[in-house]
Amino acid sequence: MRIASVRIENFRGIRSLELEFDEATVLIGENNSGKTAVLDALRLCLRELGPRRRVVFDAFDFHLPDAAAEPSSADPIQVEITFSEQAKGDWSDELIGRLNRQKILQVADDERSHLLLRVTCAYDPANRDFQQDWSFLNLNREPLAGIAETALSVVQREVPYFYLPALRDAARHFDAKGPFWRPFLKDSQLPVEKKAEIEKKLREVNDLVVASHTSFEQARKGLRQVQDVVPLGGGDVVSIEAVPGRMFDLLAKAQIHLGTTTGAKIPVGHHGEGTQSLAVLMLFSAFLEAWPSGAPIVALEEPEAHLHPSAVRALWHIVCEFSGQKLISTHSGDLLAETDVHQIRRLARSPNGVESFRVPANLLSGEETRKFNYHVRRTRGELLFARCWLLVEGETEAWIYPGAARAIGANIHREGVRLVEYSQSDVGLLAKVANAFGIHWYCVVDDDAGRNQYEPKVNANLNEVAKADRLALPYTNIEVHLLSNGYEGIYEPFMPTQNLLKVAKTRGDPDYWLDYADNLPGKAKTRAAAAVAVEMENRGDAGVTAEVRAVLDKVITLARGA
Amino acid sequence: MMVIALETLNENQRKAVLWDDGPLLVLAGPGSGKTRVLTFRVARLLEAREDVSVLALTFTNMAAAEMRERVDQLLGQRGDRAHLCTFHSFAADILRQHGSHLGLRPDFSLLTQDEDRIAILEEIVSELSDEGHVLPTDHKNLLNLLDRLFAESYDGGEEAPPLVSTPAWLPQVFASYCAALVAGNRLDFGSLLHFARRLLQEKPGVARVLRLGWTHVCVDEFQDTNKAQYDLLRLIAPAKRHNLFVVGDDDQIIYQWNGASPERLRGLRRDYDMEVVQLPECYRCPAAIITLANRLITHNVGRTSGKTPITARRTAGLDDNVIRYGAFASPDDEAAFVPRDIQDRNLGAADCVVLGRTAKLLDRAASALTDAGYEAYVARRKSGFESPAVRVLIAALRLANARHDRDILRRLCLAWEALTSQTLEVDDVAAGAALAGGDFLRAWVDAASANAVGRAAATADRVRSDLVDSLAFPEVVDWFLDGGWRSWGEDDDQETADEVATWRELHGELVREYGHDSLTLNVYLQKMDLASKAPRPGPDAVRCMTVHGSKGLEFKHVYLIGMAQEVLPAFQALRKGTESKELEEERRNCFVAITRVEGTLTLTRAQEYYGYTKAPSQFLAEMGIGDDE
Repeated sequence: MRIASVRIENFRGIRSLELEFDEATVLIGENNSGKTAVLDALRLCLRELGPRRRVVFDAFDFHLPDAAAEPSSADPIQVEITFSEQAKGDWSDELIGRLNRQKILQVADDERSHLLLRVTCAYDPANRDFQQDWSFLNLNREPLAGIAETALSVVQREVPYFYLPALRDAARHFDAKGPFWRPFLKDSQLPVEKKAEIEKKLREVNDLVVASHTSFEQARKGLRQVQDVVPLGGGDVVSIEAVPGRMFDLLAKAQIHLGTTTGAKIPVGHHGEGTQSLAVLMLFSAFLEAWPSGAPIVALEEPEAHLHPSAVRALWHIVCEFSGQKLISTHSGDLLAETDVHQIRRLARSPNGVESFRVPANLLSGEETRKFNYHVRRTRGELLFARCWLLVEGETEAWIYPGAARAIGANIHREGVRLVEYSQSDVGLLAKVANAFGIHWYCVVDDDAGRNQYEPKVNANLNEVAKADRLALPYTNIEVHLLSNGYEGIYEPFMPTQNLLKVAKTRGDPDYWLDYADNLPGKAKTRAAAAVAVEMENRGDAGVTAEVRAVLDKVITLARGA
Repeated sequence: MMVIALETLNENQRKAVLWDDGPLLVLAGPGSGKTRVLTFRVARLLEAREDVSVLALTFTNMAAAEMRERVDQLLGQRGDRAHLCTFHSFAADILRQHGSHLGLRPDFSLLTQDEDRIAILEEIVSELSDEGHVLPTDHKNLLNLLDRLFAESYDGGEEAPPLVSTPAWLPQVFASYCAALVAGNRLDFGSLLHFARRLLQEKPGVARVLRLGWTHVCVDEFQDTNKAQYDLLRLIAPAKRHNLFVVGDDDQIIYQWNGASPERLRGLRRDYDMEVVQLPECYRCPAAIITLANRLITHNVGRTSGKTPITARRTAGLDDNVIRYGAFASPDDEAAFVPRDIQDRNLGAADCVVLGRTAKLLDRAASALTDAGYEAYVARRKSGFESPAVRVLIAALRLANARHDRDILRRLCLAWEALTSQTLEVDDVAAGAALAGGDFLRAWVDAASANAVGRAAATADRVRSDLVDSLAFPEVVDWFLDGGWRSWGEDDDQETADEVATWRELHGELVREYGHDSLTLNVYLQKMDLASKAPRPGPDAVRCMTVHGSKGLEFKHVYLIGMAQEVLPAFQALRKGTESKELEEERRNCFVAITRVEGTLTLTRAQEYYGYTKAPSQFLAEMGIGDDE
């Protein structure tokens, strides 16, 4: 049974938000954009929720729209969670029977089953206290009547909600009281095959931990050299056991030691934080497999914390193997690099509170998806975290605009602006994806013959935004623009003599710089651009042309959400 | 661990209790321990098999409550795999959960008063009359016709099955009535079954999840099933080999006027591959009674063929002088005999019951008992409370549940006037509500408080604090039942005290079933509407009951009065002929009456009733009792 969607109202930073979930869903967004609020709302309403009137929210969970607002005058918190069959038959007959006996099941005309849970909490001035209630709803979202308290626990047994917050302190999780560790310690009567399965898992943990630490490999090399001096025995005597591989070790100790065959053992809690994170995740995975329970919902906050980028990419596939439904919040472009774009939900603040954006299922054609994966997702996953994309034609602009920004003292990174080159990709596709994710964009196009190729694609994706806020045609050509605006000296060293001889026009001719630029070799253009960027920064404010400055001002304004 | 004492069962009972899957018909004679068999089987199945879930349908709340209690005793707790309830309550559950498909909201209310239903009907009739149709003016009769159509599963077509010829306006009246119920989010008893059936027919997905929810279905007292109930059953259990366990007795069909029919049992055996177990062993009645019963019932030719005669299995008893018979000159003499005889025989009042074919006979018996110093308890149907204090609170609860309902507001004003003599005009209150956001209850409290003093002011304040300013439910009912009502209950006001006691019992049952915090006002009112408000008999009362009311019960000493032609059997049945199915039903009435007896049976008759001389009941002769005995 998995969550199809959730509606959250007046919870923390969220005024009103509706989110749809897949088998695995990745939440992205800046700090304070509501990712943790979503995971917490689900945790409170699925795991913490109990008797109807026992309040699980606290005063500061209420959405306070302004500084003067008080929880006691805030609008009611409301969370609605919808569980749905993707297709008739997803849920077992037994489960459907059980939910129908609880009088909470709903069946749509296409015979798919649904379950809708609503939790509300409001301040009651008469009692001077918060009043909470939960109810199951029918398909018209009207509360069903006559539902026993036990109905909730039937649902909670079926969809246990596990939440792993960003701060994974291994010492705490691997403590004898840790929720995922304790069952392993307690259960010493494991059947042989279970035990083998867990040990296999633990070896995988070990391999992953070791593989994701280049330092381990160096240590191993160093230790092998010891062998040259002191005979230690045959074979590869140096192995690293980041996590003990045997149940016996696990059960004998209340704490895992990551150690080496040299005998030096260090408790897991004293290892690097990346190792701790991984160890906890793998322990959790082992826990889910050893004690399968219903269809769990696993919420992971920033699983990438403290991990090497290649470990992050490997991690995604491990997380996908977890049984049940996965909700992951992340700040990692490397993790997104491995994620299907349709599974991503981008949360962003707007004047109306938090809004959610996604790429709908049929927005991109197969070819567009491939292009997007190749040009953006695989290599530049971090682009999806931007507030505004500055779409530029090629490498020259990619050097010039950041240089210009530095020259005028603007921090475009801090403003959430990222440059994306479109000549090798497809400006229409980039605009479409940016629109879907609620990312602002601004496209700089040379006002030359190439304009005809790009402008229609910009036009096609305006989505009712003024064209002036999406398209700039500041110059016919960036090189000509720079050459004619005081940077000709930077280009001179890169202009080969035989090319210079081909320039027909004479200096002073209005088309001289155009002719000059036409004869610049491609490599020279980009090398010169890098040098111009440095020179521009040196010249400061005065070195930036009005046209380039106007583009920067525009993207910063867009990024600020104006 | 449950202990089911299989060794205490006879061979036939054991066979039924050990029945696992597939359809079984248990033909259970009177006193054969059918409730025990049914509950033993449910408990055994639930405990033996994790994959089993049982829906057991009954006809009365009392039977459902008794079965719930017995299963709870056997299993410790029922869990969610067993649901024992009435057909109507089951239909209401389905409609609450899935009714959105038909446009019903989960908080629909139940119309229990005929006047409310007639009000809906009048509107429809006046609209149709404007269109030129000629409709009957007796709306009460029209209402009875609608009930009949609901019972017969009429679906709005051009032919209405129970009628010889269907008037042209009927389909439209029926459709408009159903539409008006949906539009007002209000249902009556008959329409509960109608809409539940339509829902399962029109939405196979809903029928499917229902069948997944209940793997095994049981029906108690199957012989009482009307067509609407049977059609609903067919949708829950459609397969010829469905796990359907049916308990019934064609010799105890006495609700033909309500849609029950011997045809139903024949249909059941046609629609399912039924195996049959007979439970002829009677553990209730003395052997002499069983002899009478067997003699009597063999005169019915329409019985299930191959029916085994009842056999007496009572081990202990006072079988001397079990059957007595007396004839009296007048009904008054007959009535006066009963208390005198109870006194002469030195019987405990609570051990005695007076049974009669009609309520009128019983009223006379009750007043004779009262005159002789006995407390007489006349069981009657009671669908609503009558004492003003109780009516005020119930109406306030209803208005809190539906704050814009003018009919409820009117009823609250009437009850308030009866209680306090303070008249509040419905129109004035409604006008006040228009200024206060449309909340009739708030407007009513404002109006009531304005002129109230003392206890009236206190009651209005309570309604304001618990139902207007906040919804403190069920706390406000707790307050009322735990003593709040006392300021209105005068010393001699037995009616209020009785109704409070009845309500307290219902309230306790509902709080136990749903839990104090989970009980919503809406469900509470629906459940209250489904429950009978008839008070329980006092511990020292002699009960006076119609034969229909005595069904399923047993008594030490039975006085069956009015054993005369045209009384039992009734005049209308005799008119249809001595071979008619109506007469057979009268015979079954007599059969049911005499098989209530655990100890002694006293049959009486008068020479005349209603001023006409009446011959002895033909059933006396059929049982082998003559005036000379």
